[in-house]
Amino acid sequence: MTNPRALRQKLVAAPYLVWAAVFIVVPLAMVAYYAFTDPAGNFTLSNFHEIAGFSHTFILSIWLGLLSTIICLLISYPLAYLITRCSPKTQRLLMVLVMLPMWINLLLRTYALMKLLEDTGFINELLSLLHLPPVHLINTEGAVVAGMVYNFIPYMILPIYNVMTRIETPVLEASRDLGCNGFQTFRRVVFPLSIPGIVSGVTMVFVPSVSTFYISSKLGGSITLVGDIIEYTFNSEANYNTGATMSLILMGMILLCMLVMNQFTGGDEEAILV
Amino acid sequence: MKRICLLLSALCLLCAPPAAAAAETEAKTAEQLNVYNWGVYMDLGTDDGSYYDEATAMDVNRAFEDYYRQTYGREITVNYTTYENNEALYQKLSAGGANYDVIVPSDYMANRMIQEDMLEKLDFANIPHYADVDEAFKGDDWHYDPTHEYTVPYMWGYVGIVYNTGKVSGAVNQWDVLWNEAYKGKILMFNNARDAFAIALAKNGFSLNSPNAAEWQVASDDLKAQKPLVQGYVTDEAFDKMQNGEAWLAPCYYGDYLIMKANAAEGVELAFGTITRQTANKFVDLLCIPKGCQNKLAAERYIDFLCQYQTGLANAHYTGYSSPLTTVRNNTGGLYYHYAGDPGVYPSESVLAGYEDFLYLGTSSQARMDGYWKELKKSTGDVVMYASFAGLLALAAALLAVRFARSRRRERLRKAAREQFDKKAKNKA
Repeated sequence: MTNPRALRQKLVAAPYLVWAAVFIVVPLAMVAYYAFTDPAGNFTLSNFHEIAGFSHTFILSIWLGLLSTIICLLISYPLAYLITRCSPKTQRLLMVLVMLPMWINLLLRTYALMKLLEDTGFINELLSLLHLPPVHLINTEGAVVAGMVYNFIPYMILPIYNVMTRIETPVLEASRDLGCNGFQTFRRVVFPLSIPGIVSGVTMVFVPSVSTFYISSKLGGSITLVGDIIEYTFNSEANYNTGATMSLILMGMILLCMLVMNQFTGGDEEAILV
Repeated sequence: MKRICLLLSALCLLCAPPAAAAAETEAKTAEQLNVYNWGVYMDLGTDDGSYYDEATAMDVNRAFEDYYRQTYGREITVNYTTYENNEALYQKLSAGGANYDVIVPSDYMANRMIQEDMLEKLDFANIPHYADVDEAFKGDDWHYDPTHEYTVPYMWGYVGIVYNTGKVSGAVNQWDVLWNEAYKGKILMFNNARDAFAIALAKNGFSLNSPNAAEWQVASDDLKAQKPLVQGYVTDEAFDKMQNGEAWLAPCYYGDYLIMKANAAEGVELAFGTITRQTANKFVDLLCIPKGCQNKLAAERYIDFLCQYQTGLANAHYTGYSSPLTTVRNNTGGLYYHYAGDPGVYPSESVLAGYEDFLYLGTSSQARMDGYWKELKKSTGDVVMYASFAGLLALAAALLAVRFARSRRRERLRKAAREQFDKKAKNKA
């Protein structure tokens, strides 16, 4: 009698399925519907034509998202590796430190960063106290990337750290026994095994970075990302059709980017097996 | 604490089962009045407003309930809810199903609602204190309600330029200063199409409600030319950035300027420049009764209550904006009025002579403006970015190619090894 058990399993999954249907599938369907219709509800492709002029904005968003993802990865990977080398007690403490900023709301963190980077902000005040020339930081692309990195870096560290802690010491010992030096162990064992963590870290940083609108509007001055345009189209213009088309294209571009990124990881897992 | 109590009682009202509610109405026959206003725009007895004066502060809605009981001998409950902006109010009303008795749209939105037949005509016999409303609102200085049948002004204000006196030299009385190269990177702009375009239109001597497409084109070009000088398009951040000297020039409402000035950091001196050489926006928020109102008489009595001296004074303190009531402006009631005689809050007629109120633009002008605004906001191509982006893509492609070649070679080697192994095995056999 497997039926009752299967039924029970289905019941357990039911809350999530309902949730997913109502809050993921239905909204996605609505986005698709709005994207291909005009305000009167007739089928049209003119929305796509209308937003062709925003290609620079799309590319700028993806470029800044990529930059911040790469920077996050470059910072997080060694950090996560070093954390796993610590004693369990220190590891716990360090992980709390990594997650600490996430206890504070993203909007507040961004606002705080704004106050740091301003021409009259903390950093420049400090420089002037030390009689150093001021630096212009706020309202630049660099400030936007800094904001993204600062806000999203825990999402990169956590998955990489999680995967790395699961690499058992015997595996490393075996690699050393088989004649690998430290670097080779890292290149042939640790790195390939940590790739799933990198993949989820990259996804979790890249997607919110590309679609952010709050960070760019607070730290970027007149720099406008695609998220800002979508927000304006929906909120101020109440033009759901163009807004939905933009969201759809953004989703498509993110998927495409993820597909390309995954090309780098798919093969490596194979390489581990060889 | 009061707020929590209010919230709780509101919740109780919502949760009470219909039967109980019916029984209660039978017993007390309490009327209901649904008021829908901007957030933080009426004195509810809290001290989070612009100016708090214990003697004049009151919870306007509770005061109205008492006043109603004493004057008309009937119970009434005011259900007070708030919205964020005119567009939210419009969407709520046009979607239908909403049931409001008093709403407070701004001039251009009231103008639109009048055009779209969404408002009830008021019976001014029930609003005797309308007589205290400044004559300026009853003539043709303002254009939102040409026949003066639908609206009673609630609060008003006007736009000028707030500037840092230590950094900005010369008279600040025209919009051109926001295009001055000398202040590059220190200029803020409204992050709102209508207000930003109003500035660009006014700078060129056009009407804020211009029906002329060519004039909008000129304004759009001007905003584009200004973009490299602008530090940011902001809303609430303007307060912070002006107060700590991060920005030197920003268009702003006089009421907001008062708050900035009061909170300015040490060494930052702010001043307000009225626009005298061009036009600029003056706004008024209006008490109106929407079609579908359930209790028009009580709504009119509520509007009248808001036009009384003490209520007007409480709200003028709380909001910090200018009151349209002559009783408040001249402070005839003898209570303390913090802004009495303030030439900023109540500028002379000559100062305001050139100012214009916003009218509803109509769908096509609105769409054109939204289009221009997004055009302004979108990024332009940047050679460095494209080059580095292309470089990154090339790097990715090269890496992929290398990996592909490598795996092909590995495959080949593996195959060769297997063949050799098989051959050996065969030889052995």
